[in-house]
This record gives sequence, structure tokens and C-alpha cells, in this order.
Amino acid sequence: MGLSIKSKSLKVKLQIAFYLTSLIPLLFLGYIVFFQNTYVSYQYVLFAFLVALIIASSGYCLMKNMIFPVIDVSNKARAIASGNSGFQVEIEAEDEIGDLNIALDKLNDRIRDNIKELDEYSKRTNQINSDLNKKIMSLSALLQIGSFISSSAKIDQVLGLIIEKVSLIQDNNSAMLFILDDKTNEFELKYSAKPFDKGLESLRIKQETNVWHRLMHDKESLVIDSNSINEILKIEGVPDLINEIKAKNCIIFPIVLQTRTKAILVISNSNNDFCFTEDDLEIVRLFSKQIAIAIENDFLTKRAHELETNDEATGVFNERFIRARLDEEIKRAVISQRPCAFIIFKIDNFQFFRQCFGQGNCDDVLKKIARILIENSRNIDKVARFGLFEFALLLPELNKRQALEFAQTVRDRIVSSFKSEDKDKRITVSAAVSENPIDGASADELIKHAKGLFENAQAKIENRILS
Amino acid sequence: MSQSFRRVVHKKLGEILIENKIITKEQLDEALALQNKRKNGLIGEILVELGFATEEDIANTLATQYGFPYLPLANYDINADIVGLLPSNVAKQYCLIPVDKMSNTVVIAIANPLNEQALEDVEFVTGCDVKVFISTSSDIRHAIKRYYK
Repeated sequence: MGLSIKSKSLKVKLQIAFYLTSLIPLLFLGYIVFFQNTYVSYQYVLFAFLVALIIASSGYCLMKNMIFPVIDVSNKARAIASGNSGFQVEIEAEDEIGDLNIALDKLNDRIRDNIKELDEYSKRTNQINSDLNKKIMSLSALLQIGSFISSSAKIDQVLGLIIEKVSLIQDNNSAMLFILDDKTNEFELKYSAKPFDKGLESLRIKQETNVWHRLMHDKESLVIDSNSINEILKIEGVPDLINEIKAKNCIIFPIVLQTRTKAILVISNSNNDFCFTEDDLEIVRLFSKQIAIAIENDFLTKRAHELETNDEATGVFNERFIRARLDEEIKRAVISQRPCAFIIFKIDNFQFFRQCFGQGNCDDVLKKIARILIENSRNIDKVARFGLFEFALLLPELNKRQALEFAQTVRDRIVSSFKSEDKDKRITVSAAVSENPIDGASADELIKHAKGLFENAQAKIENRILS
Repeated sequence: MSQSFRRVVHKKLGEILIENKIITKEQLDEALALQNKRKNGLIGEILVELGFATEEDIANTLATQYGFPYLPLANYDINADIVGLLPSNVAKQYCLIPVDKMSNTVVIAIANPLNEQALEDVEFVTGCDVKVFISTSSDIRHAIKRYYK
């Protein structure tokens, strides 16, 4: 495209204007002064000046018509240079000024296109930056959550943190976590990034609705946004859920643990004309994995705790173990028509002892008694810590009389082992003996009976055997 | 235990049954193997279960060998007050039932009179001396079912 300014009429116009404003009036006046020898009247001179003035004025007008567009074009060029691409001046000259104006317009258009293109690039760059930022935030949050999980934090704190972090990934987001209630088989709202709105705390995803089936059995997520709203609303339960959540857009994501949906993560917002991206889904997927890990970790920790059989302080079995074992032994006793005894040894005045001598001395006493109990029991007997100041013994195939004898012997040995101590540190113990079948047909009944003997004793129990 | 007829024979029930030619050595071994496999159970009941002996064989053997009198429990009615001397747990677990009480002695029918711990427990609960009669397990279980409701 040729944008070069060709010589058109500007030069001629300039020459004409020059002639009209200077040369022609001067020549005309010179002619009047020098070549009219005859008397020149005053009126004639005035007329001659007037004619010269008119000629000069027409020259001036011509010059003005040439100069003003130049000024306009100059202003336009200055405006473009200062970044005002919307500056418009209509110049209808067909001369070089017109060409210059057209060239400036084209230049302006090109600049405007470039600016638009730059804007596009800028927007895309912003989007990329925002996506990157989102991913960095997600990664940082995931790292934080990971270290929180591995620091054995409580499940409530971990899930609370995950929900808080996932809600920060996008502006105006809200996050909720529904946990499966094993009794009702419904998903109950347990965690939210914000305090629960009124009425929301009892929110549930009810059993046997299509949305429940989709999450529970099909394990499919639901994405509700301006793209999918019409289709998704057809699913039974979804409109109610959206109304209750009070959101326009949401991702409802099942969290699957060992092939079973255990929880549901809901990310929502109320933005208009909003669509979730693949990246959003991917981030939700990552967070849901963390939730699954946290839930499983909690389950395994509890399971490991349940599987612990020994008391840390004394090394003997713990209460949970002895309870379970007692039930087993009773079942065995029933089949073999044999008795099974259970004894609780309680350290007398141990609370007072602890206040006087501290936990360190208490631990020593506990360890010493545990050792005596183990030394005096048979291979088939089981010794356990049973509460703060108590030990329990499970004695298979001993009846009431035999168990009472055993309790007496052990009580005496414990008491005599502390005889050499200072008077205040001389420990005594009392025992309560229960037996299957006389005192009960289950572990709970035997334990209840033995504990009841201590609780129902009229006088202060010290160094006694109760039955 | 203050009974005058405390056990003096120390042979095991299985051996006595073989001596009395009620079962063979092989049958006893089979029953013992099953007892070991189950890690529980009474040898008399296992022999009955395997069909090598009847409950009456076991009861009669115990009666003649150890001198315990046999009581055909099915032919007797028991006073409810007497039954109430022992909790049902004890009766069911040891397979016994009190049948009478004379001054400070409680009379019980039991399938396994060699279970001294059970007899001691009866003494402990009732505070009485114990006189033992032998009955078959099934008769005692029927009686328990009938009287402990």
C-alpha cells in the first residue's frame, strides 16, 4: 500500500496564496502608483487599496485553508503519539494533508489493532499467571496439608484445614465436606470453610436419591455451572441440594476409600456465567485425594491403637485386651464346663501417694506391682493394667475358692515387698474377685461385679479381699 | 468339699470305658483327636457325639466306678425353691441342677461328678455341703430348660 505523499496541489496552492497575499497586491499597487501619471483621485486610490486588500484576503483565506488542516493533522499526530488512539479529525483535503491524514488514520488503526492484540496477550498472560498462581497455591496448600497429616494432627483439624485451603483456590469459593454416616447411610455436612449458615448444619445428601446413587455407587462427580446447569438439574436431588447450598455453580466430588464413597467434597460459588475449567477439576481431585488420605490415616491410626495390647507404663496388657480376652476365656470355659476367674487389684490410697511422692514414684510402684503379679501368675493367666491405680488378672480354670486363695497370696506378697519402705511409702492393695459362672456369663458382667464390690463396700477398703 | 465320697480312683474316664469294653482304644484315640482339634469339649460328650457310647453308658460307668448314685432325672419333679438355690449360669455352665436339700446338704444331679471345681462353686454359692447324683447330660439340660425360665 503506497502511503508516500505525492505532490498534488499543495505547492500550487502555496504559490497562489503567496502571489495573492504579497506579489499581486504589490504589483497592482505599483501599477497604480508608477504607471498612472495622471492625477489619481483619492477615491481611486482607496478603491485600488480595497482591491489589493481583497486579493490579499483571498490569499490569506487560501493559506488558512492550507494551514488549519496541517494544525489538525499535527494535533492528531500528537494525540496518537500520546496514546489517544480514539482521536478523530475529519479532514476533507485531497492534497498532501489529506494523504497525511489518511496515512495517520491507517497508522492509528494499526496502533489500535496492536493495542487490542496486546490487550489480548495481556489478558492471556494474566490468565496464565492466575492459573500458575492457583497451582502454586494448591501445591503449597497440599504440602502444608501433607505435613499436617504426617504430624498426627487430629482428623477434625486436618479436614478443617483442607476445606479452608480448597476454598481459597478461587475467589468467592465456598467449600463443604459431607461425611458418610454409617448408621443412616446418608452424607452429613460436617466441615465448612465458613461457619455454618442457619439450617445448614443439618444438611444431608439423602439416601436413595439419584444424586446419592451417582455419588455412592457410580462414584461420579457432578459439575454444575452455566454450561451444564440445564442437564444436571434433571437429576433427582440436585435442585434441592443447590437450593440448600445456596450456590449457582458447584463441583460435587465423591471421595472414595477402599472402593466405597466415604465423603463428598462440594466446591461452590455464586458467580454469574461461570464455568469450571479442567484445571479446577484437577485441583479438586488433588484435594479430595488428600481428604481420602487423611480419613484413611485416621482410620488406620485408630485401628493401630485398637490393636495395641500393652500398657506403655508397665508393659503388661491393657484394659481393652483383657476385656476381649476375658470374653474369649468365658466362651472357652462354657464349652469345657470349667470356671474362669477375674480379679481386680486396687492400690490403696494411691491418689494420696501420688500427691505426696509424685508421678515418678507412682510409676515405680506400678512397675513393681506389675512384676509381682506376673511372677505369681501361671502361663495361661493374663495380667493387665486396668485404670490408673488398678490391675486386672484373668485366671482361666480357677473357681471362686481358688481365685480367692490366689488373690490372698498375691496381696500378701505385694504388701510384704513394700515392708522395707518408709512408713508413708508402704503400699497395700485390695482385691475384688469375680468368677464365671457364679458372678456372670460375660466379661462385662464379671468386670461390673468386681468393680461393684469396691464401689458398694461400706467401710474403707484397705488391704482387703472382696468377693 | 466335705463329701465323704470324694474321688479316689484316678483313672481317666476313657480308660475305664475301655476296661469295661464299652469303647475300643481306637475309638478313644479318635475322640481324643477330635477333642484336641476342637481344643475343647468333654471326652464323654465327644464319645456320645461320635456314637461310640451312650449317655447312659457314661453315667453308669461313672456311677459304678466312682460310687456316685445314678438319678434318672426325667422321672422326678424338682421343687422350684431348690432350683433357686443356684443361679442359672452355674447350672448351665457345669451341667448340673439342685434336686433336693436336706438340712445343710444340697443334693445335685450332675453329668460330670469329677468336676470338683463345679462342686466347690455349688458349695460356695449355697453355703451347704454337696451330695452328688449322676444324671445324663441331656436329662440335666432338659431339667434346666424346664426349671430355669
